Amino acid sequence: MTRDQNPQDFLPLSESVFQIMLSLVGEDRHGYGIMKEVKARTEGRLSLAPGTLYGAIKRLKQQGLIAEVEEKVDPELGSERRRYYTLTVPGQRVMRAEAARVADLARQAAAKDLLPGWSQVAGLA
Amino acid sequence: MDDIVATSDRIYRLILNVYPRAFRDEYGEEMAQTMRDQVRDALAERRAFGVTALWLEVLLDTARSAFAEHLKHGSRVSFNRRGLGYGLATAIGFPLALVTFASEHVRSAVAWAGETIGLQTYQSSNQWLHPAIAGPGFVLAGIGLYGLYKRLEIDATPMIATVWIGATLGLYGTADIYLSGEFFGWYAVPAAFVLLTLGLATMGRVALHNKTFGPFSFVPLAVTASGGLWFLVLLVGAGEYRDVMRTSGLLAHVALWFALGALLWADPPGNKDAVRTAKEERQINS
Repeated sequence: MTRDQNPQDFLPLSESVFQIMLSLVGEDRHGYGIMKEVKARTEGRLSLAPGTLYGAIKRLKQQGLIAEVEEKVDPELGSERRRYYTLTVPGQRVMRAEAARVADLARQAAAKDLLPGWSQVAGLA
Repeated sequence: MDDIVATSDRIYRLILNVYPRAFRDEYGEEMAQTMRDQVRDALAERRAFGVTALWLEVLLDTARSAFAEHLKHGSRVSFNRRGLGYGLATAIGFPLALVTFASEHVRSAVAWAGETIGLQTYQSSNQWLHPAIAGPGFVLAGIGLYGLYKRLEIDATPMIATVWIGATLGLYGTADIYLSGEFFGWYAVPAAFVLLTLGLATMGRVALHNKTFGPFSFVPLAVTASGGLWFLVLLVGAGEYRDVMRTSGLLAHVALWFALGALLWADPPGNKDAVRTAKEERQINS
């Protein structure tokens, strides 16, 4: 993402991309770490296989939304060194913009009573 | 448990060859590492069932994501598309062109030439198929073969010729048995299977060795289309016309494929450029 680019230019994000980037919010992770975090957070609904994961990582890196940080060992997974990824500042901006977009959609749906119990959350009560 | 992880790792590394080279170089090792982690966890959680389910998921994902990566990889895909186009032109053109051997007009010319030099040639009054069909066939086959010839790498040519010859013999023999019950098929079909098996095995080896499947992508499509058209031609000409197909048509067909094989195998000077072109494309891709 160049300095002139607006985060809105990247929206909407596909669910896989959104989940991958969300898994990197607040913590750097390696590929398998991303997979596991996404699977756990979505309660198994979204399971990323290596092809999809690394295809997305490649494009996110090219767009400057994520970056490699370092190679290090994950003690939970043995002694192999692993490449870790982090969310860049532009990546964080894109995630905030996407989250705001999704929240706005949810607010609109709640206003039409499509999301029972969300009226208070969305401040519509 | 370690055996299963190690075997899965070996198989997955082979499968990774379906991705574009640049992508593989950048992420292949990491993908293999991730797959090992997944297999290990699947084994620990759900044993054999978990590994089977994981493999199904990974295979589907690989087919989809490798296709997507090739599409995003521009030049490699355009190379494959051209290969497919040439292969299809050859597959459609060749059977149409070979119909010429049963075309009354062309056979009249052959008969005239034969009589002129004092040879006995085949005579028939059948005029089902016309040079108007065979002509475009020659043009298509010419374009297709030229394109394939220019683009194929030397390593690939002998076995491609073998595959085509084998497939042709097999298809011709099978169709002939079906239509007339002639003895020919009893030796043509087994020979074709042997050739085809050898050809496919060689193709697989070369493809893995070169870590590329690009130049080979036309083969199944071309052979299938070629077989389909041949079968159609045989059905159309199943009457008195069949005799011609079984004799001169067969010999000409086989001779042409052998000629093609010899041509591709010969490595004439012009093909050096073709090899360089293919390598350059690979470099551009990577």
